[in-house]
Amino acid sequence: MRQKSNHELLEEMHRRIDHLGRKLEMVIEGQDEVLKLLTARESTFRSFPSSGSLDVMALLHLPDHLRKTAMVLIEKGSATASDISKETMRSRAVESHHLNELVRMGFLRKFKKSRTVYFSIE
Amino acid sequence: MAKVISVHSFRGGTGKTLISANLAAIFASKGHNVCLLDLDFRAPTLYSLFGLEKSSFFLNDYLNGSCDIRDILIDVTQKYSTKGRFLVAAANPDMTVIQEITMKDRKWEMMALRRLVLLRTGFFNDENVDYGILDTSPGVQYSSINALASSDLALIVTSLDKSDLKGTSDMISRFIKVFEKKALILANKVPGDIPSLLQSNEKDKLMEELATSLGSSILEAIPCYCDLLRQRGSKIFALEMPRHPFVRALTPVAEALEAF
Repeated sequence: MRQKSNHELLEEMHRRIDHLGRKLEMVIEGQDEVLKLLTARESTFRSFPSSGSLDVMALLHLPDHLRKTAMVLIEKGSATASDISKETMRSRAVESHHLNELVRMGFLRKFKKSRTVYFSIE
Repeated sequence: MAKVISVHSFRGGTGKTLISANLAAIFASKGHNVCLLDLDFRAPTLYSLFGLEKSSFFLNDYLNGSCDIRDILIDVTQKYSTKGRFLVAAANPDMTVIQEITMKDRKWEMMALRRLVLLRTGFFNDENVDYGILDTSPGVQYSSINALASSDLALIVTSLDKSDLKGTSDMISRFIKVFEKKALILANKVPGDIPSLLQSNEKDKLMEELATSLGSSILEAIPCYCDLLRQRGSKIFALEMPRHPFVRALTPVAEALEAF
């Protein structure tokens, strides 16, 4: 098999660097999109009048993933992330994240009973 | 598991309550167990339509948490000789109570939503209720959005008025699809010559026009029957005059809801 000349190797290197450059641009563009979405979501949350009551108007303002969690908790009154995950068919870790987000937004109360963490609408 | 249907409209006067009561009556006549709830707290009607003036507890009391749902339901099965069990919960028509409901805070509304949601897994399940029909207050009201959020599907009653069609379309995208509920649209009080409206080609043309302006299909178009208005809200046609053309027009709607 013929060995590549230095010139050919250099051209190959340029091609690969160009290819990597294009991929990097795509990653940066993707990050910009994610950043835009996160900023929009944060501004929605900031503008939302949180008074601590998870009423139907609050539910309408929530993003879909949190609304699903919130609707189950409204029915249960208080529950663990595991209880909610059984109804939503999402993982316990995902529900735990959503429930904590709702706590941060001021809609839920979090408390411990023995060593179990509960979330409550009251 | 009960199927919970909210009957709602963007504007008042579309015949929503008459549709709710007669749909519930059709279901009960067919042998289904039905529970009809008056969530139109601003303009209660079911107490007078079913002659429940002597009720001591109302749906308001259940949502307040001051009584059990069993305390407020009136069993009209024997009165109307329906095959299935027919239960009705009236809203309180007292003007002071109507005024009070407009001043409830967000926490009360949250608990009211919870009590509505709990009916499905609680009372409806325990008592083998097949259909829970929620008659709502028109437009965008807390009690109506609570009903939409706690039901499986919404039957939206609209007139042919342009503003009603626009409001109906906006309401579906803003308040029904958000809760991942299905909306079925029923055009009621359609003016014009009834015989020609009942001819399939005329009706199909109208349904197509409406579907285009609403952006979703129409379940049925029911003509405006003057004799319904002449009864002044005192008759459940599906029970007292089951052969009336209004009942015949509403029967396919009940069948579509059963099949849904």
